[in-house]
Amino acid sequence: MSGTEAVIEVTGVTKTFRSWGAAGAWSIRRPLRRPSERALALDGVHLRVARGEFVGLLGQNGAGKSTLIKLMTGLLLPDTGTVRVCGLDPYGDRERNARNMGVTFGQRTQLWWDLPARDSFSILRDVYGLPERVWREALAELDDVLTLSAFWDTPVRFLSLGQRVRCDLAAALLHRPRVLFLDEPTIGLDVMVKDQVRELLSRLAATGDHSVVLTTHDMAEVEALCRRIVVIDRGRVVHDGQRDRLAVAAGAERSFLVEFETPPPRLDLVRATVVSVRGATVRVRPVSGADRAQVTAELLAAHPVRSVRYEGATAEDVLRALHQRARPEPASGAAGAAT
Amino acid sequence: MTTTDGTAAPARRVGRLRLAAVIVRAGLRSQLANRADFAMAVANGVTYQITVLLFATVIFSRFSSLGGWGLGEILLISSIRMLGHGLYMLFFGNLGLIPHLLREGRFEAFRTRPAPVLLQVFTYEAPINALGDLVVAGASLTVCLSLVDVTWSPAALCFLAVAVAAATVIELGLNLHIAGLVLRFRGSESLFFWLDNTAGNFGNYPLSVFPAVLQGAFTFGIPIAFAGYYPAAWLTGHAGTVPVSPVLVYLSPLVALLALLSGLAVWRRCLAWYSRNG
Repeated sequence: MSGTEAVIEVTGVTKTFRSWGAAGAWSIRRPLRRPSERALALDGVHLRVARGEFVGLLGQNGAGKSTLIKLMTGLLLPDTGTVRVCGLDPYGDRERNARNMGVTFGQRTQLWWDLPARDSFSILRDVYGLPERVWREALAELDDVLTLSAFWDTPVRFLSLGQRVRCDLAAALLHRPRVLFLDEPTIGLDVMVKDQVRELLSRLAATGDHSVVLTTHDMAEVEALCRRIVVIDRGRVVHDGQRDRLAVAAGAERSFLVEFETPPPRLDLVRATVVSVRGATVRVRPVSGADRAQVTAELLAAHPVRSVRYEGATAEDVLRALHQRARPEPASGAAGAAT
Repeated sequence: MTTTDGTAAPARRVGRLRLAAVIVRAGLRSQLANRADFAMAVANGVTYQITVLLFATVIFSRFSSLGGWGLGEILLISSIRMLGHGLYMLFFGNLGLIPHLLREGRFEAFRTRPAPVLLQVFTYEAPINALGDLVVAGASLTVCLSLVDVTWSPAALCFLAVAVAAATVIELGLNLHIAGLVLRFRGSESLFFWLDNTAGNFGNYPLSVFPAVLQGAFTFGIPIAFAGYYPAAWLTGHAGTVPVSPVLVYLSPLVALLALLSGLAVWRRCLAWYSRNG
């Protein structure tokens, strides 16, 4: 975390949602005594994001990432705790806060559905009160990276997903927001469009002036863009730190990806632990103190091997390790119980 | 790249009316780009309102008068209501899109922009079929003016204009209640259609032809009688025949104000609930 000016400050935020049990919800005997439960979405979350930080907000589906984004953008109110963005309450100072931030929500477009994207950009110029010259410059620069002009005269409803996402990103950036919330901006996009979006985001990161909070399941994106990673699991922050320290924190610093000739029987390893088994492909992690040669020798002796690849931990491995640590599950597959 | 240089763009204040005009103009331009879609939307509005008028005409052809009201006088009731409805649809009719905007996840976008949420809802789509409503309402008023025996003094013309404006605001107020309920209870979106049908089926006739329970309901519950019947009663000299009190013929502006304030209060309360519960 940076020690400089805090742009986003989330302090002790808890958020629950009410839900009604399906069974007996409208019981004939007790129709007015419908039991309700509160599902915990966020539990005492603290987050401080400094100016210029690019934060990857990671977690499984339902972990609480989108709820946190909605709280920071003023779309939801916390049950307890406070949220401040650029010193403003995002809900109470909604309109002032909106001038400081840009938001995208995955595949849900925020543009005017029946209008050409360029008309949406013109409307946004007036919504944000941008001078004509500033707006034109911003649009030209965004066009340069995202190649918008090829399709911006087409009504949004006729755009492909990739074109729409690029237009949404441009709409979120036109007014040069100090804070940018990107909720899964590349979900469902092809490789070419992903590259364009990443190019834009890496330019943002390079300036060091925008604070960006990115949620994604694309670990390549995280590794390419985010210096700081916050991991949420079941509503709690289980890791908050620099990306390169995440592996150490999760105890997932390195692993071997082994492709056996055939799916292996139960693997009884002394110097490594089985992380995952997919058919004949097994990922193992050396136990503390075991060196690479010892583990390789043990693997070769265990079962006929086609290939062995030694890898540093990927963000995906680290995330998996963090989740497994938070909720231990029995390893699956024939080799799952190996030690 | 200056867009991403972190320098906040200098902002100028843009009036909300101007903003609404910009958005609506862009929407109209887009609708006009496809002439067939535009014509079909206008035709839809015309067809619906003509159906309502045809039904009324069938009734008039069977009875020379209804509750002491002649054909022209009854057409004045429906003309005020339909003009009010047409103006409501033109400026505020997109309230009925809220269930769709919620389902598609587009409602959230309105809350992340520095402009009033309701203004963004009202201007989201150009309401072309409102033009059809207004065409039929205008034609109905023209026919009615040739049939009724009313001295159109400046005071009467002002009263008519205020009555049409009140009809618009009453419909806005009632629909704001429903829009709020839609945020709170997802199953309540059919109330938009229910209100539209109720106003179309009962709002075009003299209140005195309905049973007392409906007279009470349309005066004190869902006050659609103030969006046509009561002001028309003053204009046509039927003030002495209205239920409860002749004073009611003057109260349309007050009822409109109350419906609007109450509707806005419900909307704000339900939006706050929606923000707590998602």
